[in-house]
Amino acid sequence: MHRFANPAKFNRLADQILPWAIFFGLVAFATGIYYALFNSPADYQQGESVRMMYVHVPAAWASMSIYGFIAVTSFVALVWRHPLALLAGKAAAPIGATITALALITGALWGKPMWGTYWQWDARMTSVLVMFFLYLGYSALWQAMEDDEKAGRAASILALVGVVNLPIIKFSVEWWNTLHQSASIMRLDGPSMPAEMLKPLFIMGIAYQLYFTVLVLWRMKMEISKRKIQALRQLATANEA
Amino acid sequence: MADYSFYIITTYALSGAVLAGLAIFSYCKMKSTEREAQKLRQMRKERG
Repeated sequence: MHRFANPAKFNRLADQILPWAIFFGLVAFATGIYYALFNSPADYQQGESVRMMYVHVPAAWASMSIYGFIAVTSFVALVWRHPLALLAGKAAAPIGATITALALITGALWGKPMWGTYWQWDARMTSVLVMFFLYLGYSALWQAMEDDEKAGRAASILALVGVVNLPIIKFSVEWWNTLHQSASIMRLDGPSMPAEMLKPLFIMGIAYQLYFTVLVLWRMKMEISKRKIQALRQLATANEA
Repeated sequence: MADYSFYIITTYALSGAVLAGLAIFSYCKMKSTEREAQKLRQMRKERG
């Protein structure tokens, strides 16, 4: 694992992955949107409004998987003190916060015509909102301390404590009586959705994951450059003194 | 059947704008930081 702790090696690997991830990400978004808007059936109950699902559900999946990613990088950073793991978590947090906000807003836009309200304090919506605040808290902790090591440790601990929220989000629709509908894809008895709807949904899910891959690599490269700048400035100051 | 076009268009337009905006911002920030690091390295080399 420490093989990629070398920033130069990591940058080389990222530069190899990025063009492919960008290409397949764009293809996945284009194909997914085409199927979602023009080549999938309307729902027998929700009608055409079901097309909002192809944006909302993959955003919700991505918001949870990115949080999981931050939790894993936090664990690796705390246990093995892997320097790039800390940067990966820091780089992922703004992307996760943005996608979680999108999941909440697109959910509200879907909720208004379906439930008659943009928002209700039910368990699913509230637990996702808590995750959004966890993302903000994680990023705020990084900004709150001058020493990056200390800030990274504090943020990592918060991220690990917040992991308890992930099963709450997933099972909230089963544990409590919620306005949000129960799971229709990840069920023990298989998805309750036709293949024509599952196809665009999964393609959009892949598109969001590729989007995250591209952005987290860009932001990690940016964080590495920032560290280089900091080190070069410190050297320059030391030489002047 | 009710007309949901406002909600559908807003959902797609908002998501597209936000995702594209974040991607462009992240790319530009990464490039400008890389350029700054490169410039500092160059200056250090020139000074010996």
